[in-house]
Amino acid sequence: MTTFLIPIKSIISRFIKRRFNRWLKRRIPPASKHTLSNRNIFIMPTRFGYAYLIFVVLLFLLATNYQNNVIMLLSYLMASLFITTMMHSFYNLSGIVLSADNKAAGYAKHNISFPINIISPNKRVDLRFCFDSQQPTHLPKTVKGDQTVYVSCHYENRGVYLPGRLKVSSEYSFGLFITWTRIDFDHQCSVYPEAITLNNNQNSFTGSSENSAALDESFLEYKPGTDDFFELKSHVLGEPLSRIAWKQFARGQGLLTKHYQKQEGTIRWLKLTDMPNHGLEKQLQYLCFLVNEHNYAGQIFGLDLGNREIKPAQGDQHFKRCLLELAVFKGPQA
Amino acid sequence: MIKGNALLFKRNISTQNAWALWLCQILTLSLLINELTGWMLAIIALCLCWRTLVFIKPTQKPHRILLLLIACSGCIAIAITGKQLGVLLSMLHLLCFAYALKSLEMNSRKDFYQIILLGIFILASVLIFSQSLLISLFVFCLLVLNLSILLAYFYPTTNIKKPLIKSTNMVLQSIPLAIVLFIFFPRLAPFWEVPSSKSAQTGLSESVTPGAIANLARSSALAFRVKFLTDIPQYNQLYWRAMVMDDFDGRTWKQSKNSHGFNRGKRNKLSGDIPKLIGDKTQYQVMLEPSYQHWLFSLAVVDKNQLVSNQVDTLTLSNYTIKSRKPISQTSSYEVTSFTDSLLNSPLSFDERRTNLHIPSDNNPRLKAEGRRLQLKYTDDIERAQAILDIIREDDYHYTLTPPLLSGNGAGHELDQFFYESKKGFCVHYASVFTFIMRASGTPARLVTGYLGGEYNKQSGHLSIYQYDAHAWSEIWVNDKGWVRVDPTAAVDPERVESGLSDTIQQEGLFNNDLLSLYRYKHLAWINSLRLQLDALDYQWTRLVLSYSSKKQYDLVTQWFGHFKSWKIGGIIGGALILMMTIMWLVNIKKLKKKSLDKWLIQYQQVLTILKNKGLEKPITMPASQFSIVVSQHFPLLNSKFSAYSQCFEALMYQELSTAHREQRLNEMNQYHQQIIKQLKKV
Repeated sequence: MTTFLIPIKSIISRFIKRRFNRWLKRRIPPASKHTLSNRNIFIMPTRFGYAYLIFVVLLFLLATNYQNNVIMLLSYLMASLFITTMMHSFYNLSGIVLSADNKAAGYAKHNISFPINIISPNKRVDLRFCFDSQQPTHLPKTVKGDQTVYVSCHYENRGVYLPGRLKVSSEYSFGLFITWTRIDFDHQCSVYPEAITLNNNQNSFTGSSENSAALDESFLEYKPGTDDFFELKSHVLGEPLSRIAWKQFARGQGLLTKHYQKQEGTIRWLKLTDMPNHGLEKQLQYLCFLVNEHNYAGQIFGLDLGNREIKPAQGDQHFKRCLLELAVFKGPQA
Repeated sequence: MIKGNALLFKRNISTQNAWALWLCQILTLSLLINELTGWMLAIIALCLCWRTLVFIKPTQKPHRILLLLIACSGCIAIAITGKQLGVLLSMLHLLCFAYALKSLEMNSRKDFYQIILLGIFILASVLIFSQSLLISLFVFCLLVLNLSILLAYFYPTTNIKKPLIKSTNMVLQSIPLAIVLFIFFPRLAPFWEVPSSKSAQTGLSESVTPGAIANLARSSALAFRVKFLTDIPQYNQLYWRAMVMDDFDGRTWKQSKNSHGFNRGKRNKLSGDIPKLIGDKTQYQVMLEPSYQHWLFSLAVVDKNQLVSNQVDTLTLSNYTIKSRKPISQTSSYEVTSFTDSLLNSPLSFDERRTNLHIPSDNNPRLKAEGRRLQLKYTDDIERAQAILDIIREDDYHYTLTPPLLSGNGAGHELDQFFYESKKGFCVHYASVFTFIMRASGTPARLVTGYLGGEYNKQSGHLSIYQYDAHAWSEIWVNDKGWVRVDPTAAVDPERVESGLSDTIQQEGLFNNDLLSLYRYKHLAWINSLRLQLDALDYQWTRLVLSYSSKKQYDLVTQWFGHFKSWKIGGIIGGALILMMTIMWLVNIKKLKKKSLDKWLIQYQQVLTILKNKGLEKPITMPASQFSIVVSQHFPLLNSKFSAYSQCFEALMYQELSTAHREQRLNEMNQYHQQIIKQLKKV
C-alpha cells in the first residue's frame, strides 16, 4: 500500500513544485536588481513556530481549566506576540535592495562565490543566503548603506551551471517564522575542471610511448630555475601581477613586467592527446593545471582538444576562454 | 542543513546569554520555593551549580549516561512521593526537575527552544499558586527575559542589553491585542477536572478552644476585599459571617455535623424556607484571597437568588452562612446582596434546639450555677443577655491578645477559670463564656466566627479585611426574633467593635509572621499612605483582572455594542487584529521615511532657505550643479565652497556610495555647510 503510494506522492509534490516555480517566475521575474517588499517576501511559521502555537493553546487550556485569568492573559499575550513577531519578521527583510552580476566562475570541488550587493535601509539582522542545495552563507547583520556578501556554490563536476534562484531567508525575532524570498538574478556559473598537478615523475607519464619526446620538451620548461631572466618591459594590462617587478616599481620607475628568455618566441600547444591516459576527466584536469601554469608564467600557449582548438595567445581573456572550453568540452568524439 | 544549524547554535549562544539563561532559571524556580520540597530544591541547586562549573570549564559537562541516571532516579523519587504531594505538585516537581536538568544538556537549537518554552510554562504554573499583582509583574518580567534570551540567539551582539530592549518593545506592542482578546475572547467553562493546589490552610480555623493558645499570633495578611455597590454600613455592623459553631464538647467549639455538611437533606439548606428579606439591600462584591478552605464571607441575611459567581460554586446554608463546594485555591470573587435588617428567624427544629442548648455535665460548674441564677432572675432572654454583658462591662475584665493559658484546674473548668480568676482574654473567651451562660440559663445560643470591620481605602473605595480582623461573637435564640447577634467583646473593649484593634493591643499581638510587612510601620504616615496606595493598586488588579468573568464580559459587550452576538465578538477581535497590523505597518513606513530624511538633506534645505531670503531662489527643475554656478555669480565669495557643497549633495543624493565613501562625503558636506552658513551671515 505504502510502496504504491510513494510514487504518487512524489508525482504530486513534483507537480506542485513545478506549478510553484512557474508561478514564481511570473511573480518574481529575473532581474539584476531586486527590492524586497510584500510582492516577493514569503512568511511561514517554522516548526518551532507551530510548537509555540500549540504551547499557547496549552496555556489557554490550563487557564480555562483553572479559571485563572492571569494565565489566560499570559496566553493571549503570547498569541498576540506571535502576530507582532510576524510583522517584525517581515520588516526585517522588506526594503532591502539586492543586486548582482549574473556571471561567476571557478573550479570544480572548490567554493565559487557570487558577490551580492546589499543596500539596507537600516540595520537588519540574521540573514541567510543560499542557492538551491548549496551551503548557506550567514550574514549576522547588515549596516545601513551598502555591503557585499559572497554566496558560495560548490560543484563536484565541470560544466556550466544555472544555480537558480537565490534564497534569502531570516528567522529573526524568536525563530517563530521563516521569512524568505527567492529572487532570480539569472545567475550562470562556469565550473572549470579541478586543476590537478602533473609532474614528470609520474609512472604513467614515463610510460607514454609515441609522444614522449614532445612531452619531455614541454615539461622541462616548468622545472624551476630553467627560465632565465631576459628583460623588463612596461606593464600591459592583463599580464599576471606575480610578474611585476615590484623593486623597480618601488624605486618609482613605473610598472614593469619581468620577461624570461625562453618564453619569448616559444609557442606551446597543450594537447589533450598528450595527457596521460587516465580517462577524459583526469586529462582535462591536467590540462587545466597546465593552462594555469602557462598563464602564470606568461607563456603563449594554445589549446588543442582534438575537435576543438584555441589559437595560441596570451593574457587574461585567452586564459578564461581556455578554461571555459575545458569546462564545456564534451569529448573528442562529440 | 542540520550541521549548519548546530554551527549556528554554537556561534550564537554567547557566554553572556548563557549566564542570562542561568539567572532566568534561578529566578523562575525561586518563585516556587514554597511549593517545592526540600530534596527537590537541593537537586535543582546541584544542577544549577554544576551549570556554573560548565561555564568555567566546558569540558566538565556531565556524561550522558550520568544525566540519564539522574533523570531516572529523580523521576522515581517524584513517583514515590507522588501520593504525598498530590497530582499537581508532582507535575510541578517533574517540570522543575526537567527545567533544571535541561540546562546541563544543551547541545542543539532544539534543546534551547525546549528550555525557553519549559521556562515559560513554569512561569505560568507559578500563577496557579498566586495571582497577586506583584507575582504577576514578576512573572511578566521573567517572560520578557526569557524572550530576550531567545531573541539574543538571533541577534548579532553578544550583549544581552539590546535584545532585552527589543523584546520588551515587541511585548509592549503585543499588549493592546492581548487586552482586546482578554476582554472579548469567549470565556469557556473548564473542560475537565484539574487537580487543585493544596497548600496549608490559612485564616480561620474550623474549631475554637478558648484558653488553648496563650498568644494569638495574628497576621496582617489580606483575607478578602469587599467593594460595596451600595452604601457602606457602619463599621460595627460589618460582621462577616464565616462559620457557626454550635457543637460544644466542654472545651472546644465546632460546627455540628448537620449544619456544615453539604447535602444532608433539604432541611439544612435555605431552599426549603426562603427567609423574609426586609429593609434596604446592601450589594457588594467579595474578592477572596486563597484560603484553601470552604468558607465564604457575607453579611447576614444573604439573598440566595442574587448570589452570583463564576469562580466559586456557592452553597447557602441554613445557618445564614455561605460556603464553596471546593476549597478556595486562587483569588476568586462573588457578588452578594444582603438584607442586613432581616431577621434570622427560620424555625428552629427540635434537633437544633437540643444542639444549641447542650452543655456537657459537670462542665464549668460555677458558670452553670451562674446561668441558673440568671434564669430565675430574668425571664426575658434579652434582659438576661444584657445582665451578663453588664457583669463583663463592670467587673475587672481586660481585653488582651496575650491572655494566660487556661489549664482548667482539671478538665472542663477552663471557662470557670477565665471568668472568675484570670479575667483576661480576647473575643473567643468572652463569646464562649457568654454563649455558655446563655445555654446554662436555657436559651439556645451559639458561637459565630468570621471577621469584623475592615480597613477602608479612600483611593479606590474598597474595604480590605485582614487576618487580624478575625473575630468571634455569639448568637442567641429569641422566640419572636430568631437568632440575635450579641457581641460580648463590645462590653469589654468597645473600641474593638467600633473601629478595630486599638494601637496598644496591636503592639501586643506580635505580627511575627510578617516582619517585613508594611503594616508594622503603620504609624509612619508616609509608609502608611504607600501601603494604602499599593493596596489600592492590588485591589484594582483583583477587581479588573482576577474577577473578570463571563458575566462581566456579557455585561460589557451588551453595554457597548448592544445585543450579545457571536459575530460581534468575531468582528471586534478581527478588527483589533487588523488595526494592530495596520498601525505597525504605518509606523514602519514612517520609520523608513524618517530614516531617509537625513541630516545633510535638512542642511541643504536650510542653506536654500537662507539664499531664498537673500533673494536667490532655486527653481525646482534646476540641478544642484547648475544652481551652484548661479550662486557663484551672485556671491563670488562662496564660489568654490558652494560648488563643492553641491557636488557632495549630488553624490549623496544620486550615487550609490560605499559605506566608507559615504562617511567621507557626509563629513565634507558638514564642514562645507558650517563654512557656508558663516559666510552667508557676513554677506
